[in-house]
Amino acid sequence: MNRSLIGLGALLALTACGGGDSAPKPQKSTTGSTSSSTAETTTTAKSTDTGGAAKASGSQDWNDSMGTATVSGAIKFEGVAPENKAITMSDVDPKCPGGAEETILVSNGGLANVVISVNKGLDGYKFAKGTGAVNLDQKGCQYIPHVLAMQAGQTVSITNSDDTVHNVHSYSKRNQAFNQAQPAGAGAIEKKMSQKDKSFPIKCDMHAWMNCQVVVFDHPFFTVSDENGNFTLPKLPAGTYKLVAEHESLGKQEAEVTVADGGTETVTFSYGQSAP
Amino acid sequence: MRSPFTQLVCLATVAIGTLSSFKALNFFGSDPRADEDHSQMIAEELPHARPPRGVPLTITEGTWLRAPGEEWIIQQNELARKQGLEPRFTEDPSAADGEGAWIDSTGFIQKRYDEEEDFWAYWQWVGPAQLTRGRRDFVQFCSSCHGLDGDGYGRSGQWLRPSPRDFRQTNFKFTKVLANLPTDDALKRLIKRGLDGTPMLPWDLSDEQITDIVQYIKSLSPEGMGWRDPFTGIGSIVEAGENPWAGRENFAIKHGEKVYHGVAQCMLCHPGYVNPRDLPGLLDQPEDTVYRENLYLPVLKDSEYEVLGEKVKILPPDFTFHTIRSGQTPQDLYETIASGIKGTAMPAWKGSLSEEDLWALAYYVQDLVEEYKDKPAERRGLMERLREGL
Repeated sequence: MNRSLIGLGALLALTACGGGDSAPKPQKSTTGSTSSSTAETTTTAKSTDTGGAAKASGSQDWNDSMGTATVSGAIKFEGVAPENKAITMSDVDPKCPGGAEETILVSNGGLANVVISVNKGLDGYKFAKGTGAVNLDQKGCQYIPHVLAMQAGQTVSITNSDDTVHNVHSYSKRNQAFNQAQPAGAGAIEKKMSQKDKSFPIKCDMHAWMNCQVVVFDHPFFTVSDENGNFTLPKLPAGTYKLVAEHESLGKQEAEVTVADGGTETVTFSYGQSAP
Repeated sequence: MRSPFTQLVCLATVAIGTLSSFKALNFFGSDPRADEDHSQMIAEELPHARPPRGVPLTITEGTWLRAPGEEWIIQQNELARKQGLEPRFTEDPSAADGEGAWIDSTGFIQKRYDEEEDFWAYWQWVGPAQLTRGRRDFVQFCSSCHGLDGDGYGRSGQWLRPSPRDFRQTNFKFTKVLANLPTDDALKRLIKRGLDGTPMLPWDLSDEQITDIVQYIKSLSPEGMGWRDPFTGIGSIVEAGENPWAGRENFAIKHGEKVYHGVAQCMLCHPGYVNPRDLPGLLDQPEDTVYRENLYLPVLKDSEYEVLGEKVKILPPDFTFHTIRSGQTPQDLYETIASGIKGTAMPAWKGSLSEEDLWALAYYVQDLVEEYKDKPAERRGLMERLREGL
């Protein structure tokens, strides 16, 4: 295995560096005494095993009062929005009411369900894990919301408001994938998303049209565009950021933005049928 | 229907497989493990049943593979203690050149840091000698179907449906665990039991041989996947607990029928086995409710497994016709239903249904198998009744 896996320091080493947020001090050692060609690894000590260790020296713990800038804007959809195909549900499950596809939702020229997040420019801060729960409901045999953005450390609480059964099939990568049945009346399925995770679908195999997108960030600067395509990212510290907009079928777009303390900047993203 | 040729290949495979499992030790002349220094013998690449020339059998480097966490280790020790045995693992802070590890007779497990992913996880070191033993037995017993490199395209396997597993996809269906991946013990049990209705036989190899094969199969995980994915979860076989229907099996079957067609709605994917006219009652719906077409047939479902780069669709079993792969006792069925089938549409039901409902489903499915499977006349009668809504 080529990836550098660094062995957990022995208790001694832990004590020596205990509590320190300083950069790791690598020291050579060998592992795998049963091997003729022992894997070369580096030993280090860490004060925590939460994976949220300091990335670089000089980074400071983030708290909300440090951010006074705002980036807001809109996601435009150029041209004629495609029709959302109707979904006939009753021939699969008479307890489902029927609906329409939700992949591209355009209203007043704005595109909904685009995830906007800060991608670069936050290196100077260390963010605590998110807390609390966000809800993902199954209602009318569709997911509400259709796109869910959350912070690592938060729990997704999946509820079933329908009078029928669903299976909640998650394709998460860094967080445990799962496929759990949820009959009518069953309690919420609570899954803690401990790690950041790129956009992944949650689907229902029993009702094949049902799908939603979930993305997990390791910082609090993300949002999802509303039904008119508008978004606001408040409480940002002053700085220059790369902003990323991501739509489940129309792809990613990037923009650079600089905000000053107390200031507000506006960013507009534009999607169309020919967008990547 | 399988073509006659396919059937022939299956039979041949089964015959060869059975033969080799019984004669396992004779192909090598003697059991190399009995020798004090078998690493020397491994190096010599012993004569093999039919290894294509030039196929490498020796693995020179060990590897780190994901292991279950400390909770599991402590659980294993407690289990041993309850049985009056010595604890399986010993924690030794000075092991592995002072890095500290949990040690058992097969090797050691360490909590290690993945720098690239900034993540701690438990890893198990598997040495080259064990991987070589596993590889050699794999080539001997498994490769005819699973391929010389575990890609699922062995010569005997390429005509088989379902396709033999491609171990590089790290997708295992009948593990009966709630996590993504099974523990070694869960995989070993699967190999020892085989999968009914497929050419995957119950393998009568020694425990050591199967342990080695399991390590080798795990090592086929590509970088960042399966046992090389720091984020993956590894779990033990789901515990069945006490059977709440013991002595009341007939009530269990009756209740299972209600759960199957009611709260669990198994017939969204599997066939329904009650008269469609009875369904609205079970589902609390108006009498004139129309259900899906061909309710007495299963519905083809997507899976995550790929063959030749295409996602495979899977037909959920009709319990009166198909062979259930992973055991037919109520306990087996409980485990399968409770844990779900990985990489397929079949979800885990444990926690979503009461234990009483889960066991009742197991009894009901077992009853369907007993009443109709391999009984063409009875099954035809049932199907006619269902088709015509009589």
